[in-house]
Amino acid sequence: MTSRSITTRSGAHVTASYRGGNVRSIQAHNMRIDHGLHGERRVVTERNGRRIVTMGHGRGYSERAYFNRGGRAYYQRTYYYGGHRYAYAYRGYYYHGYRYYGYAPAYYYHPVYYGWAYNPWPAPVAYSWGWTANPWYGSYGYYYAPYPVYPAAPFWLTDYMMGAQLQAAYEAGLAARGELNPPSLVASPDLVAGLFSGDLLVSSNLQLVYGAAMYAGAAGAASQPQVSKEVKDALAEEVKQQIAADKAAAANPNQSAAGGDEVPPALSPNFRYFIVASDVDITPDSGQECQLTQGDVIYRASDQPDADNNVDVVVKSSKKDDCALGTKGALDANDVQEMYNQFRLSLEAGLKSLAENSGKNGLPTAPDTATTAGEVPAPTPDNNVDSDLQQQQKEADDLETDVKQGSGGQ
Amino acid sequence: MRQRIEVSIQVAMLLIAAIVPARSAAQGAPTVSLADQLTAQYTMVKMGADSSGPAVVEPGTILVIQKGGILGVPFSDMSLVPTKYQDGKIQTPNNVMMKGIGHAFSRLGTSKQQTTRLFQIGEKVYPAKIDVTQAADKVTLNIVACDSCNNTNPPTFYKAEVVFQFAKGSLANMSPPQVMDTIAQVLTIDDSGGGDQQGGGNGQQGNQAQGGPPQNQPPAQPQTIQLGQTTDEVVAALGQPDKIVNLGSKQIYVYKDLKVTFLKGKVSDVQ
Repeated sequence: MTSRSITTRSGAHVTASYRGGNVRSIQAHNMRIDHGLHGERRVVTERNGRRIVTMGHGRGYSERAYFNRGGRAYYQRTYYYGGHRYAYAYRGYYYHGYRYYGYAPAYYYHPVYYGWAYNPWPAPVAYSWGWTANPWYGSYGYYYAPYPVYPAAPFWLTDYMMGAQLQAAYEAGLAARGELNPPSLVASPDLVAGLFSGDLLVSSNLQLVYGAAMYAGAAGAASQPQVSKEVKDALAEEVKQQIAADKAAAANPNQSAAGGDEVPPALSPNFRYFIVASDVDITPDSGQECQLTQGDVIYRASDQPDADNNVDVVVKSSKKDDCALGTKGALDANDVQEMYNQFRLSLEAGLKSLAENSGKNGLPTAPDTATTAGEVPAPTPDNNVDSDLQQQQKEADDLETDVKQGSGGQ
Repeated sequence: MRQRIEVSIQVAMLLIAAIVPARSAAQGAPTVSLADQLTAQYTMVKMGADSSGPAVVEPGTILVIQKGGILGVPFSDMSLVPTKYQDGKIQTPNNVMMKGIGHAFSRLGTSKQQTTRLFQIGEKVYPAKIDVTQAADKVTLNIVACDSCNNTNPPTFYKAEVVFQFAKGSLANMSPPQVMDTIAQVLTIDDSGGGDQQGGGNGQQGNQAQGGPPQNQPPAQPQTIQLGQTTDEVVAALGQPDKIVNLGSKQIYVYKDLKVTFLKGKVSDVQ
């Protein structure tokens, strides 16, 4: 990778990094543009107290300070997808000098529900997701298969989360190829953040819109799925750990620490397997850069970030064209924390779905699915997030043009 | 085989529409007021006094003046004539009003001369207080000059009050970022010194999944910290600290690779 300082036509000084003759990143005042291995663009800007992040294809969010309570600072992210806005809260804290954001739930279930979700069910449950009727499964059936039966909720929830991630990955692929406009369907707000349409209803919509053409390329079901039972079981165990943590938090919603260093859950011994929530590039020891995409699974191999805040990871499951199984590399601990945050969000959505389907379709009946106030009041989506994202895209386009035409020294 | 999802899109949309408000209602959680959200965004300066007069005890978010015409008065003055901002224009208090205040001072028997000053575009200030009056569709922001940022020596700590007047009935329907954008037409959060833009932090984030924070260009020159400097001088040089340890008269500002100790608001040690 080579870097070059450039003075744009407007007189701004920027640094552009190149690999193979292509611009990989541009660092300007308050704006950073990164191009992934396959060209996808990520733009981050900071303006007037807001951090705006775009991940391409109309997907992105705006983040800002939300409120302070008990020495804790909360932030709100308003995600925008398909013409709709969805807001979630995060708590900001520090670890070894780096700022982290941890998902802050706006509601909890009563502890008895978490207990029901944690413990084995009276008898294993056979459950059909209906995935075979969805186009994404035609593409990713080779990669993932649900459990045949569910002895407890964590296994069901693991399938729920993986299914949602893979649906989102499928749609992102369509969007990247220009084959999909953002769906107009109102998606469930519980899955939107990080998944961006990872909603069963959205997939149903895609099926209606695109019909049988979407089934082309469906993999044979006879081959062994890439995600092994061991990996799935490890994820299910982490789901169980999180349910236990949620149960404790529900019993005492104000127990979060205030001030001082706080170990991010992404570095906790309880959480080592992570589902990749958005595209990320890693450079393995071999030096050959590769990409991980939504729905791949990594294992965190080190507990403490290095001086650059990176942790060692090993690829445990990956789709074709992604980093090979067993690839070792390093990821920023904050990226891993974001994967954990998306895990929290999709688990929350799964618990909600489980509560709504309690006693239906063969699922056992939950004892109590009522909710109580969570760690933070539910934020209201910012209604200008779409204009923020549009403005950012325009500025990013202009900057890229400027860099291509820019002059300046090395 | 049972199919979990067999509802039509129309039914699904109705279902979602029913679920979303039901969820909010079920939580019964209070909402966060606009004032609280703005207060989270703008860290207020904490002022005190030492033998030399007013002093910054804890710095706040640094704001940069974008429009001229904001009328300031010395920090110790009791009078504070608001400057109004409405429809994109600053309405500076007129001379008649200022003379009236001067007359009031004279009637109170004080010999103090009313010394006002218009803040200049580009000057840096701290927010000191923010009030939201929803019924009157106005947001009031009190500011104090960041003298160390502006290289004003000796410090004056001129202060002002800016009233942002919104159209009747509009404030209740505005989101906090929209209000902040209006405020930014007059007072923009400073993004030149590496300070946090989001309410007091100074963090670093991941490079890809989260998106690395933009780094300012060109790189800042090495900063010098000297004994006797004030807290806001240090913050102006180094940005907001990661942590502040408050031990009464002694404070420690903790940066990633530096600890600055203040005794009575002045640098006494650096580690």
